[in-house]
Amino acid sequence: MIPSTHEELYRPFKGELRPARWRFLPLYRAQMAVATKRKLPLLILFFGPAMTGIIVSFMVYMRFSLEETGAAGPISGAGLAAQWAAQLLEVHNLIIYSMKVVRFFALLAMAWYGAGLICEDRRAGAHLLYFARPITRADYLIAHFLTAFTFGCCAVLAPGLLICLVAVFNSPGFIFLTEKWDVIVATIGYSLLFVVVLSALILAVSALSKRKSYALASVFAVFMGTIALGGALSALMRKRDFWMVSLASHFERVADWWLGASRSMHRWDPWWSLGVLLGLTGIALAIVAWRVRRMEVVA
Amino acid sequence: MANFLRVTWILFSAHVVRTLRARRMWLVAAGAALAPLVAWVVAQSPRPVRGLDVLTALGFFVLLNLMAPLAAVIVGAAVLGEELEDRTITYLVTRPIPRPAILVGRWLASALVLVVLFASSAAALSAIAGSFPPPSSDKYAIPEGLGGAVVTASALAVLTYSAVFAALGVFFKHPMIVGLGYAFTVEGFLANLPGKNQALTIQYYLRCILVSEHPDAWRQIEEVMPRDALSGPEAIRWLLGIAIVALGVGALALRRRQFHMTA
Amino acid sequence: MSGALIQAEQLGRWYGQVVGLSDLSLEIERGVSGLVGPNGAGKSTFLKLVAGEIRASRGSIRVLGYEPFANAELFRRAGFCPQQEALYEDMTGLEVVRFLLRLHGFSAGEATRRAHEALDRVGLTDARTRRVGGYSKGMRQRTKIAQALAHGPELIVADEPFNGLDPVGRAEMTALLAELGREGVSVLVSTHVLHEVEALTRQMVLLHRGRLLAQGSVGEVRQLLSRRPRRVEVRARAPRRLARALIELDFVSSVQIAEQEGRVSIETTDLERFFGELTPIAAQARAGVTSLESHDASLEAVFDYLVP
Repeated sequence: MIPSTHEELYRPFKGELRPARWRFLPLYRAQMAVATKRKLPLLILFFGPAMTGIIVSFMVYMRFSLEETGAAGPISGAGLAAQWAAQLLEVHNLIIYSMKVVRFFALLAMAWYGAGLICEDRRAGAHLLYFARPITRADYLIAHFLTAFTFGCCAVLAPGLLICLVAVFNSPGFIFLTEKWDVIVATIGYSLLFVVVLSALILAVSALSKRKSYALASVFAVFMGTIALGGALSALMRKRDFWMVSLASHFERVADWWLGASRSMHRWDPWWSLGVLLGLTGIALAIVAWRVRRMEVVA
Repeated sequence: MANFLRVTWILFSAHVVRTLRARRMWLVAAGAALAPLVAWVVAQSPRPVRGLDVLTALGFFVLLNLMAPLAAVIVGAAVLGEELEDRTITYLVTRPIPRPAILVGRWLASALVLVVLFASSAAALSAIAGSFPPPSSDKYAIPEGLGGAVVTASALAVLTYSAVFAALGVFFKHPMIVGLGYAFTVEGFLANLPGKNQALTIQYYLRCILVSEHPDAWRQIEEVMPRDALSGPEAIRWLLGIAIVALGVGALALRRRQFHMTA
Repeated sequence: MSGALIQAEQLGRWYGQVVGLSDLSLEIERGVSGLVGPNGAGKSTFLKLVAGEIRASRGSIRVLGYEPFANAELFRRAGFCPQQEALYEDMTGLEVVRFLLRLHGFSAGEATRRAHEALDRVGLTDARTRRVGGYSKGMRQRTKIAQALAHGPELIVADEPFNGLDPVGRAEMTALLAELGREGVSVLVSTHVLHEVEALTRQMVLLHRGRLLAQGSVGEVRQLLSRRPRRVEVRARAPRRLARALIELDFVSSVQIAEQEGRVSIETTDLERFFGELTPIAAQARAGVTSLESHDASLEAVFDYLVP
């Protein structure tokens, strides 16, 4: 028999927590402060989204301003309407394009900042310090989720909003706002969906991993692996629906649907993709909750 | 030299056991098993699928392009990275041993496990692809030796990539992150652009092994294949050379590297 | 064997902008020595330099006559017990020590025999076949010491070996290190707790903020410290009467009274005599002493005094 060296006693918390609605905020602020301390990763990871936002915004600006100044003579009302419609369509397509481009950069940024959130806490024993304070599991989860979410928003939502704002203020008579307001709403909606789903998935992988580097590799394995698998299966079986295996394809399908793309590589019902993404989010959050619950008891 | 070999052997044998015990090996084994697993699933499908397509598509896209670099990053970066992250490197660098043996011994152990896993996976994929019904035309039959080329390329892929990523561990604090960036961004970009730049990537030499002997079999994925492919033996020599140079540079740097471990 | 164990000349080591060690010149003789200093004093940096883990940014250091960085000859003759708790988690204690012994060139059989011996010596006989991952802090410390002494070194360098040990464990560790000293092994131990060193050795080196503060025998350092006035706080029901009686003593340099709290703060140049005299004086003055505290006995306070 192996003698035990010591005994650990865990007592349930019986006191009453001071009513404070935003207990997760200090933890969130601390996570953000730590994450943004080193400037080089910030610069590298957000260079892509920033450049995409700036370049596409410039293209949008040029689209509107060149057409305005380029008109040689008087233009009829119908001609003007047709020109505006063409401009709006081009800008619309640019927004769809930018949303697809920033997706990869967003994955990189979110994976970098999110992969270590839970596993590194567990490795360093930092969760014991958090749970020794009046922070509930939900607070802990929300703070970590918000950290990954914030970086995702900076990588996807910020460039999208920048492009939309440039389009609104440069379109003649704000017609982008009046005619294409649904694109703005869809850009925000799609960005939020993307960020929420990826934040949940990355946190789940982090909760299941031992180290940040393994979590990072696993996030890549899931994302790239499903793309390779989907591609190989659809090529072999000569059926495009096999792309449904790929996580990226589901994002693409929803983006095409919400942003109103004229052409889509995938033909399946977009509700399937939305269902899959929300289902995955639910499963991922359940995994995180389960792992965080275990963290409280096992040091 | 005798001391170097003795220490390399001790580190190799200790690390083989530790590598097999490590949880990351589950992920790597699952990655290696993916290609044959998908091939098996496809084989169960009633659709008529050619064995040649299964071998080339899964062998190239899943095994060589994705899983081999990924597995090599995970295992290769841990050669030194694990000792650094666990802060146990202190015990090794304060022993009377030639420091390069730390890199070489631990890499050999990792490479052995990876080579066995990926060569087996490629062999299983070839066997499953060979079991598909024979095609109507000989043009679509799996040429003799193609399976062997996939096995060779897979084994060399993990061997070379892991050597490069192990060496990165000497220079970088987070070799896995640098490795992921290299494998999927730098190589992904350079290897898929037409031109001589492909020769700067490991993927190019792996593709040469596949294409040189059986160019017709790879027509389907021709657009990413090298136009002026090296011969198989030449490509193998290049890959082994890259692995040796990477390890050599890493080993030399390790001799003077300081490891400051905090409590 | 003659010659100093460790010789450092204007030794400096910095990490970017942070100075770990600055202009340190000292000689440490063979035997058991204590390296004392508060957190951040540069103890670990010095020991890492001694162990050949890192190189000096300036100056030089020689250990057993060797330049220590990556020096295989020195590593054969020295054992290093690092500060970090890290060990090979998936191995058993026996496997860890045996594996590290094999790297010293011992045959498998000899390594196993020595590993058993070392683990017995540190009191890990029963736990040797358990995975290190399940070890307590104290067991990890013992394993670290076992791997440092298993190959029979002339010098053992131990960075904070008392960390994480319970009082019994500390006493056992002290006894073990002292026994090694008696066997002729030179031991250099770092700690920030003064009395741990006092129990182990008469030789100590005091570091503070990367600089050498004092070096010598415990007696010499004590003498240095005794010149400094020490503060004592006494709580009494009649503090004024007590203060009046105490101020008469020639070794009491100042007295402060907080009457409402019933507290008297006394500065004395001779703590021992003060405690000796306090009882009869308090009884005579009918002061009604309720408590007695000496606040600045901590090492940090001593350093604050010694640093100009």
